[in-house]
Amino acid sequence: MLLDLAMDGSPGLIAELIEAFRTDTQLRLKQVSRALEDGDQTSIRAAVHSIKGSAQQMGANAMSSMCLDIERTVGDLSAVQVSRRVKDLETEFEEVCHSMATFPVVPPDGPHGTICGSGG
Amino acid sequence: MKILLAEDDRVFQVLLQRVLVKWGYEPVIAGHGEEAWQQLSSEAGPRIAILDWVMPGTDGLEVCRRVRSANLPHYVYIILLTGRKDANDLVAGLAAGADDYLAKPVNLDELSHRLRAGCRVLESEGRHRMFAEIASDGIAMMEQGRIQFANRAVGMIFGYGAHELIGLAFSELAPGFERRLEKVNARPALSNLSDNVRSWPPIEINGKHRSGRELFLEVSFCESMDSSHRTVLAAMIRDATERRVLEGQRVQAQKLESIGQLAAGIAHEINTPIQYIGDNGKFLEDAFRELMGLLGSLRPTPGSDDTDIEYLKAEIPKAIGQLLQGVDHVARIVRAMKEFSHPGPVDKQPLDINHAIECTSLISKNEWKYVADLTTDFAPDLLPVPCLAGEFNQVILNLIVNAAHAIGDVVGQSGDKGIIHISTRRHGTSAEIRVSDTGTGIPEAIQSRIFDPFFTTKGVGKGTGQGLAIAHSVVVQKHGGTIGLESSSGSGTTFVIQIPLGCVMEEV
Repeated sequence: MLLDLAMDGSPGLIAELIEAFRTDTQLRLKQVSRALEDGDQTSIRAAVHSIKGSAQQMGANAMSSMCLDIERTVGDLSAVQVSRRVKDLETEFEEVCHSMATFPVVPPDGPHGTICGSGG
Repeated sequence: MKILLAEDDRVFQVLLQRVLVKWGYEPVIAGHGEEAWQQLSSEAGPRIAILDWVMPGTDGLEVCRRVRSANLPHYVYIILLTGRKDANDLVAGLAAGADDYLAKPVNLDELSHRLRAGCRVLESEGRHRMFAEIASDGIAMMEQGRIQFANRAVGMIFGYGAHELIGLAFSELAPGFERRLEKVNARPALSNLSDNVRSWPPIEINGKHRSGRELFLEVSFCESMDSSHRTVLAAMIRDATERRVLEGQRVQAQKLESIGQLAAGIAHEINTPIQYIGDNGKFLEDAFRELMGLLGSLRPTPGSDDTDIEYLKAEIPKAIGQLLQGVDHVARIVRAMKEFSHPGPVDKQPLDINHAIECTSLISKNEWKYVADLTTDFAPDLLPVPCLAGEFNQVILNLIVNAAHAIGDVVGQSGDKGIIHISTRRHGTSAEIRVSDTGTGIPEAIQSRIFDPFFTTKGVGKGTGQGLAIAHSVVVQKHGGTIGLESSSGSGTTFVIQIPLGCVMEEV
């Protein structure tokens, strides 16, 4: 459906969505690192929750499950463990961004999933 | 159609904004809850809202609750957008007042159909609202006595803008309506509605226009319990003031007509005997004068007492004179009665209003003679005025009776008398009639209402509050004239009527 939209009168949409995802997620990841320094679990959870939503919508399924994992375990894990998971998330985000930059060359069932318009 | 999109996440903002435009909607973006609330509560704001649950500050759930408790003049269809999929979350969302629920990631197909469902609900609501708006009767919904919805007609009946009525207590518009409702038994539930419905047959209650004017209303009430177990009272309000005025005037007119017919008949019956009493009286007067001449030439009988004869000579002419005076008075009253009660032509005819007023004051004498003297000052050169004679006479009668009552209130049983003074004169292109009294006067506070139908300060049995209303309608509507008053509390009242001479001057 999203692709239909892209083909049908909304040509810049995919690029715009990717850009929105990139800037929004960067911002939220910064919020996560800041919250990590402060030991503020609530803020970590909120920011990761937001990233999860847009990642899911963009089809970045691996990213969204990593978010879900952090969201669920942040209360139980040590700061070091959480920090390591956030690092992994950042790495995954970079890879997703890299793949997205080559869209629409990315195959629909590529390693990081595809932009998901018709829901999952 | 405008759709509010309240979402702080850029990805969803971009995606949803684009699809909404593509589907022909007009998206309005709000980045946080407060902004969403501002948009939704504004008059021309969006009627469909897609609210993200999680937003910084005021979240989607809170916006939902605010919209539902604010009693906005329009319905807002709310779709809550969230990543939460737990059944408890869903319940919490619906409990806060959301109409629908959409999970993230958003399935655009699903969204498009859910929006269509929302449009259907709003269209259905819009149709009902349209019916309510075009209805000429007032339709209002109340909760705990306060108006939650009112159509335009309610505003027009009571003199408010429709939005001004929201939140107003209905008892301010119709004081005491609850007591009236208690006295009338509710009908059993309407068969096609639920069991929680009570309805009443139309009841007649008094209402109050914003200007203070009395209204006479016919209202059907229907009480029902809504889905949240709140009692909602619906009212269908018909302004029957004008109809009641016309009915009152018709009854009054019919009463006058039958009294008039009766009076005309009695006058006719009295007329004949009065004529021969008068004629015979005159004959006796003349005959006695001749008899006296004859008697004078006769020599008195020796030894008889002349004093009896002298007494009779002096007293009989006086007695006959008083008899003739009395008969003349009766004859004048009878003539006045005949003229007053004559149905008169249906269209305006030139009328000698001086004479008409004289007749009316004569036949109403019993109303005023114990409390007042009636003086007149008629302009002798007044042209005939185009008038509906019968109705004109009634106006004058009403004013004289009012004047007598007002003076009666001042003099009471003291035996003192006030003055009713009636004058006529030409005033520009109108004939002016002034009816003054030395009565109580009319307080300024009620002067603007005295011509309102049913407005009366008189006790039961003394007046129906119709007299001045009828006078007003006769003078203003039927004769194109004006009626006003000069009065101050405590120093009497002068009613001033002006009736245009215009048409008669052209016609004559």
